[in-house]
Amino acid sequence: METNTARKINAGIEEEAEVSIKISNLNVFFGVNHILKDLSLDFQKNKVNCIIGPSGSGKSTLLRSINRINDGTEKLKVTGAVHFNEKDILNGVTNLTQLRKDIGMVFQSPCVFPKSILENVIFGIQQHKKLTVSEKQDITEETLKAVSLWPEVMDRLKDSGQSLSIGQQQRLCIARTLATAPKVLLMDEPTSSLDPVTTRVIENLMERLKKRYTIVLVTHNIAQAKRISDQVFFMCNGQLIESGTNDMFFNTPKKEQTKSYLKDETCVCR
Amino acid sequence: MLVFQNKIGKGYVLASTYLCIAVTLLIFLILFWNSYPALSTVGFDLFTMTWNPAKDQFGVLSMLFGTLAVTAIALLIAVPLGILTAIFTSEILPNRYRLYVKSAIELLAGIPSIIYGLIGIALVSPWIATLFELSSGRTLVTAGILLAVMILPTIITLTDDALHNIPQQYRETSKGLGLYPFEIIQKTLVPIAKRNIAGAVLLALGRALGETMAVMLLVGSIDKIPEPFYNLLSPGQTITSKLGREVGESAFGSLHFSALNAIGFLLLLLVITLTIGTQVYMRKGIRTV
Repeated sequence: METNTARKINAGIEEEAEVSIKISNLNVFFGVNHILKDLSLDFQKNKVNCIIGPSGSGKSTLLRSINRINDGTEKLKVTGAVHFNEKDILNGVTNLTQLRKDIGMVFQSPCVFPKSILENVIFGIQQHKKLTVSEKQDITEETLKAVSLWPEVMDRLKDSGQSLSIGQQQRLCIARTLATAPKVLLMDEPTSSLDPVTTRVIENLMERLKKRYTIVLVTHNIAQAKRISDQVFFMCNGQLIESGTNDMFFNTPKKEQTKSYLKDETCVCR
Repeated sequence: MLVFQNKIGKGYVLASTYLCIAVTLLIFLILFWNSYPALSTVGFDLFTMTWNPAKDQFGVLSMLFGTLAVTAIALLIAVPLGILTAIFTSEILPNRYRLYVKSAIELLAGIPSIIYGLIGIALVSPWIATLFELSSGRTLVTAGILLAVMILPTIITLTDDALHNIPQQYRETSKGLGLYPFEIIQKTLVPIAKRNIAGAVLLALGRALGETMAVMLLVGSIDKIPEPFYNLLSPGQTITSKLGREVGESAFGSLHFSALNAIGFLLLLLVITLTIGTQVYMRKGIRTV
């Protein structure tokens, strides 16, 4: 990436925005299937960048290409470029461990290890550096406070993480990711297994977290995208159909496919 | 009708459970009943070195030592080898080859123990004799090595299943946190599967303790503790090999027969103690998670 600040043209309106991740001509093939088709887009720093689209449109594949978590999958071929920290992380030498530390990921359903709450929080970070007992306590407290879980678990940090409710488990997973001090948070439908109240808690959390992190959120929930996104990217059949700011995207969509999808969630681009 | 079917189903399940418990208790009772004459006559002399039925001397220490030594050797070889092989088949080997390799390993479990014994006599025993310049290759180590080969399929298959059945999301989450593939195995998968791996080792231990035929052919069958005791390249005797050799020779109802039942009872107690001990240890481990 030539510069972190790029002149962006989204939905026809120019604006200055600091780019965190720049994707250029990204193609992903799985065997003979062309999953992502020549995608070029920028994710902006300290914003909630929301990718929406119907099932099978390639949202998760795009997300998983950013931290290269699909690497090693048989028959998978990726071309193009993904720039992060002024470096093309797809081509050339990339330290994948450092990359995944910098670009943290939260998955669809919470995956809590059969360990204590404290051990879960520090699980990732302690693989990267040796921690003293007080550092472990500090990191745990800080990250659990960041996800608003601290008041609920401060007296039982040694209890199993799996004893928490699903909503608490998802926040614990976010805390575990934050503990590795990432710059970007990739969130793959993090509220799809949660009830509406807990979903709102996670959404509020994202609103607060974006002040410190760049968030890339995949969701098939249009209402959620409307509530919390700053930038929206609409994907269908592996292609980027339209993107723009929240206001522009939802109020004045340009493409027919977008209008159709926003109206009744049908995708006519196939 | 449904209520009636439910009652039949419930009754069937309960009856099966009670039957299993009854059979276990019956084994205990019969063994204890048959052991009682020897236990009451010999008493604590059971825990001595000399076994001489002609003089009513039934010391089992050498057999107990042999059993524990052979089992320990087998576990020392088979547990690390088995777990590492299972890690390879489950986590490293591509799925399309995994099934073939696993089937081949499972085939090993079906080979009768007498065949292992014959292979041991033809191959392992002469090899040990040549390697360590011994007059006979029938030693505690030889029996332990062969026993290790016999219990390997149990450890590999069950550990492979335990690892393979861990949901993919644990691997992805660990990968997402920046763990290297080896760290994912070491720090995520093995700790999650540890209870099932312990179960695999426990089953293998049960087989190792109870194996008769192959051990009988290779252990040397001499009722003594090696001198020094750690010289395991000496012939010895295990409880099962003793039972295998002498049960046919003893008269039913004799003190000799009763003593053989007593060592069988001792073996059963040993297996049960180890099983319960391991389960308690594992539960304790889980509680402290």
